[in-house]
Amino acid sequence: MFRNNYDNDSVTFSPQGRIFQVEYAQEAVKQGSVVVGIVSKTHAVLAALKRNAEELSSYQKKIIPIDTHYGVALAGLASDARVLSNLMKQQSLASRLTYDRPILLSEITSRIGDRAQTNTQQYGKRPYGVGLLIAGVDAKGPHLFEFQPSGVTHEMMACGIGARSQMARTYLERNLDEFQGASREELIKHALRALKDSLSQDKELTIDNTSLGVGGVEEDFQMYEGQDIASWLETTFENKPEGGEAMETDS
Amino acid sequence: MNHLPHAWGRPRDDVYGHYNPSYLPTSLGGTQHISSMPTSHTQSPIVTGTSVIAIKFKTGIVIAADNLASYGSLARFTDVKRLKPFNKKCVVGFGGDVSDMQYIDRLLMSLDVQQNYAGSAKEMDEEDGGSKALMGANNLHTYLSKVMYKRRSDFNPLWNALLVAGLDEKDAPFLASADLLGTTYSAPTLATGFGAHLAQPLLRNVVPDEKAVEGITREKAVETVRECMKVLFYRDARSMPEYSIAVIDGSGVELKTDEKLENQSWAFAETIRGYGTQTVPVFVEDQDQIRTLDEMREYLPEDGLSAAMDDHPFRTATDPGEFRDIYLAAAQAVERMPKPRQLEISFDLQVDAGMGQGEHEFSYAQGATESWYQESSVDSKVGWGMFPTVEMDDQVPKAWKKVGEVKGATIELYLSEQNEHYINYRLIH
Repeated sequence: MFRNNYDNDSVTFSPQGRIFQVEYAQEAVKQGSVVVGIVSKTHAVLAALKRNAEELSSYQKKIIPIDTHYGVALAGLASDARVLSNLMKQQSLASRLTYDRPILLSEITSRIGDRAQTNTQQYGKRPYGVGLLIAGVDAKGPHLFEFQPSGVTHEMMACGIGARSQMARTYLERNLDEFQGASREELIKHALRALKDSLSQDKELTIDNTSLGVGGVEEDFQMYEGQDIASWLETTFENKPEGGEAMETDS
Repeated sequence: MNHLPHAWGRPRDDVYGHYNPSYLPTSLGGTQHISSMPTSHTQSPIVTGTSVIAIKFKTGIVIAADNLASYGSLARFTDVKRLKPFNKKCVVGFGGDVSDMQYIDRLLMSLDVQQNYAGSAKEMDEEDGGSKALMGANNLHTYLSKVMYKRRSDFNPLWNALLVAGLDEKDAPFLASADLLGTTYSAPTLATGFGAHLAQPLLRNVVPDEKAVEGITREKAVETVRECMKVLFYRDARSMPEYSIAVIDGSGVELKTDEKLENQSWAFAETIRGYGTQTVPVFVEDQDQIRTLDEMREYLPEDGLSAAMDDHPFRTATDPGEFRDIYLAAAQAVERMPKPRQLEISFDLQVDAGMGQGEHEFSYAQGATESWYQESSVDSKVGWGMFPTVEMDDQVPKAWKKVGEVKGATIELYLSEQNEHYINYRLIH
């Protein structure tokens, strides 16, 4: 039988120059449910599809507010995201305490990027199995950063990661030109539509399985779930009858 | 933080009694064997810088400090730059220990590198809000105050008084202080060291409160600071006339490190009283029109000399202070006389210096001058605080000429060595 000898740890290259453990970690991201992020000139929006392990269980949290000015959306191992988000919370508080200043998103992103990268280069460690979208507003304006288990980070105008996220990215690419000048409400709708596009035919966005996070200039990062997003879902998908039906499923 | 860096952070002797140094190293007054002593870190500064002063103006801030690093009272290094710029928006001014300043400066340099790597220190004129992303002076001040507080909590303080001046995140002028205890405060004008006593009141004259900052131009602020640096050089024995001055505003930091004090005038030094041998003009009269005592009263204040010149032919001043009051009253009287003044001063001294009675009569006139009290003199022989200093063979200063009999009033002074604190004087009509 074929056996891969080069994926036992994250410090060994394969003869093709690949590090399998890192690639496996990136596969873990693709297993996670989809999250989408978009920025305009004034706002940054995260939208996420939540999954419940079974019908009777609660939904897995997908958006984590970190500081008053930003939050993250995760795709992949939630437990790894917990470690990273705790780290980010600590670093953000440290910035406020030490410098009396909200940490720059570019800075916190590169910090966790550095941290994740060292995990891919030390024997006995494993990469984080989670991808993050980091969105919010800092001194330089609204930002969206993508973080991958390899330690790679990118600043994005719009981004989607997680299962079937290609469909969301296709939507984002098609509408890219509109994002910059979009209003807060328009941006939220774009995020929800992108999210919707990545769903399989038999699934709908409901107030139970959808999370929104919005940050803006002069506006703290705020997470919206449950009834708070009902009107957005309604107005975004009002032309689709089944969207309305999905709405009824609450209570 | 006063002008004595050694006293910074110590309990005040007048409040808590003398500090018990027995646990310290013997060099610092300790009495115990080295092996039994606890770890002790810096107990006093070694090479020190004196005042730093700063003032806000409408669009920015001016900060200055001289270039001297003293080793005790020795002016050891004369080219030490105590203003350190940081990232185009801030300047930190250091008073106190110079080696600790150099340590903090290294912290600032690594902080700058870290900020640049984090991508927050792009060019100020960059379009993507680069200047807003720069650390503001308020951020820097918070950081430095945490460093100072951490070190004092380790019982290993950085022996400095800092002023952080610059623009905050919103590009508004910012000025705040941090010291070796981690104490912080902020005001539109600040000064450390000797400047806290001498320059701060002068700065407050110009900018009494935050509201007044709006009315101050850059030129006015710079002029005020330069004037304060001059006053500090006049009166601070640990200062020098070469200094650094920085102006921070929207166009960045303009730091000059080789400024020199201009237009110094030491005339005021002649008027200083209270440190050494004194001169006492007691009675003054307009020579053009020798006045009678009654005419003289016109010029006199209600109290003071006029009270002294009542009908009592003989008076006893029970302490030097009363004697001084008469002097001050006379000074005020002269101020009210029409100019130009030609003044005449007369004394009739009777001296009892334990060597028998002697009698001296002086009567001098001074050339027309405004600064009569600077030069009027009974040759340093009568001075409050220096009693009794009268000698029998007073020499008439050559610059003075005798103008004859005194009309008006004469005061007789009796100085007695047997009772040092009594001065007797008598008015003769």
